[in-house]
Amino acid sequence: MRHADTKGYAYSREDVDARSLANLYAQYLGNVFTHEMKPLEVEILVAELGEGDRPDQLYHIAYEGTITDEERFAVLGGDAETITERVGAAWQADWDLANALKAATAALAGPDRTLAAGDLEVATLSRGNGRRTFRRVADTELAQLLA
Amino acid sequence: MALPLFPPESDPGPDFVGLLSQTGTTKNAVSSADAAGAAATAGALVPAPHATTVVALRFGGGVIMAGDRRATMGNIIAHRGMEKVFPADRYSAVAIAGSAGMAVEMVRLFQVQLEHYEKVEGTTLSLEGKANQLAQMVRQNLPMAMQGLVVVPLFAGFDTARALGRIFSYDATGGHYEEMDYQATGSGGRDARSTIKLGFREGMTQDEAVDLAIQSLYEAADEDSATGGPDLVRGIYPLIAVVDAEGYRPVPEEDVAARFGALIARMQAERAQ
Repeated sequence: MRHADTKGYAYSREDVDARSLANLYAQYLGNVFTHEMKPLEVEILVAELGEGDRPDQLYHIAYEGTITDEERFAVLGGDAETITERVGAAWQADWDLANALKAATAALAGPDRTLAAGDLEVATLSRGNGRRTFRRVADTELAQLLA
Repeated sequence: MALPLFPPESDPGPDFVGLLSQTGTTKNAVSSADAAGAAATAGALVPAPHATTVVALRFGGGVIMAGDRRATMGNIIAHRGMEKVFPADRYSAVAIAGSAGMAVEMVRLFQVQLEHYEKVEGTTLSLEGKANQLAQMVRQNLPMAMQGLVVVPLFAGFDTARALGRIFSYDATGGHYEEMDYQATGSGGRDARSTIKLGFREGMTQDEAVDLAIQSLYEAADEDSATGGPDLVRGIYPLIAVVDAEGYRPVPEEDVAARFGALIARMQAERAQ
């Protein structure tokens, strides 16, 4: 965030891109992994909306600093493999926000439990948002979308 | 650029200006003391563009902010299409009068600061918090203001916690005051304010408020040479923005043009009688 904001302020917001940010994260995590006693146990996802000819990007950076360029979706954290399978089974190229959110919530929850709006933190990147594409989907709107 | 990482004791937190000074990117920050020194040596006689009249007024659903498009440098028109009304974030707007270069830079920094706070803290500042933040930036500009490079912004937004539009005005020393209903600043501010004062009613509709803002800018341009009126030849019209529960959105230029057309037609009809 700090890197992106500083760069956007010093140059232009257009000059901030996911690839250079992902590379920085990868460099840093890789460095900690090889030189420090303990690796940082984090995984990072950098998402970017493409503009013009540039496609949308999802960069998944693992704790040892390897970057994976995800095509359709990414699942991070504990039990990622099972959740990846669930999302993969439900995935559609052209779903809208409500359907995508319901499917993602179901995949996250698994067959044995349900997650309510209060248990989730949701945000979107959208081209129609004006200056800032990032938007948090807050409580009431979230509840409506999940209903 | 490397990742900006800090030990806990010197972590700037959500403070973007603090982050800039720690990463050494202050070369164009508003607070730069070197720049103040340079301005002092130059004796404040640097001819620099000056931005003029901006107004803000409340209506039933939120606030309207408007500004003319002229920047002057002494008796010369420095720029005909300058924008003085900016979105600060989703629910607030900032308009500027004063030394154009300093003011635009201050707005840029303010926008990033609000956004940076939201990213780091995960929640947005309250409207009053944003107003205070802007006051600090104006105060940091005080050395420059003493050299004649004054920036006097106007800040308005929709307070989502209280569901109403609020307006804050500033002075060159960073003093900021909440306004009841409307405020105008810049060289034509007095004329614009009088116009709004006469036309203001509690709970106006958005259309009425936009028309009143347009009339106030027209009157200001009529009396003040540094305020630009509608430029029919080039198609340049004042910039008007609405901030309400839906957030910030500019009034489309065709709409502003049509309203100016209606105002001029009405005034012509009145004179012909």
